[in-house]
Amino acid sequence: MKLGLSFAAVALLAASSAASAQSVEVVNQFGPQVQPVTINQSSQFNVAAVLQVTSSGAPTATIKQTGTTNVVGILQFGPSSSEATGQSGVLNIADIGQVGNTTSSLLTQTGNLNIGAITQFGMTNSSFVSQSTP
Amino acid sequence: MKSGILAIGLVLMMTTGSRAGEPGDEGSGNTTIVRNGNSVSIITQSGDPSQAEVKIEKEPGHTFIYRRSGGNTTIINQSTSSSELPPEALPPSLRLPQR
Repeated sequence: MKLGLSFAAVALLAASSAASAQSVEVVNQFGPQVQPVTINQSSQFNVAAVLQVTSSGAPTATIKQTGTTNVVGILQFGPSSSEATGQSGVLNIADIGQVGNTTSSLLTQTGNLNIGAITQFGMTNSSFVSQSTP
Repeated sequence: MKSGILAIGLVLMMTTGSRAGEPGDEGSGNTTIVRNGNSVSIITQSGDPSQAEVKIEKEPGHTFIYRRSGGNTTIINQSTSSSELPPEALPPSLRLPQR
């Protein structure tokens, strides 16, 4: 019986530590003006998803992730859309979509496997990507 | 004699570097730079530039870039043509009225 309780306690501890090893942040913004989004994550498994839709504002997102696996998804609609993402880990994935008059994207990834996808629709588009493996 | 060999080696290295990964309009070695109208993309990846896989498609108003080097992969799509944007991709509030 005692042994069973010990196993249960260990299982609970493992579950709680696994939960703290994950970080998931989702930000959705709609309106004439949207606030700049800043996300910092340093768990083992990090996921950030940002959706910004504005008709007259300037969607801005800044995301920094440090962990084993880092995933970012950003979708921005606005006259001047910009984002900056920094990822450091083993596996880094970023998928960014921007629609507006001016779109700007800065992506920095450091890890064993880095994947970055950027899609931009705008009158002026700029993408800067830096990827490095150890 | 040694300096001659060194010079040949340097020339070979530079030649290989400039071919490596088809760096695009500008850039060299690990960096690919593509400009198309008002769009610009700059990709820098670590790894052996001679092993880099680079695909660039440039048309008026549209740019597609694929670059893979080692464990790094970048895909960039840029368009300045609103006609390429599927209407359903836009939220209703941003769509132009249909005529």
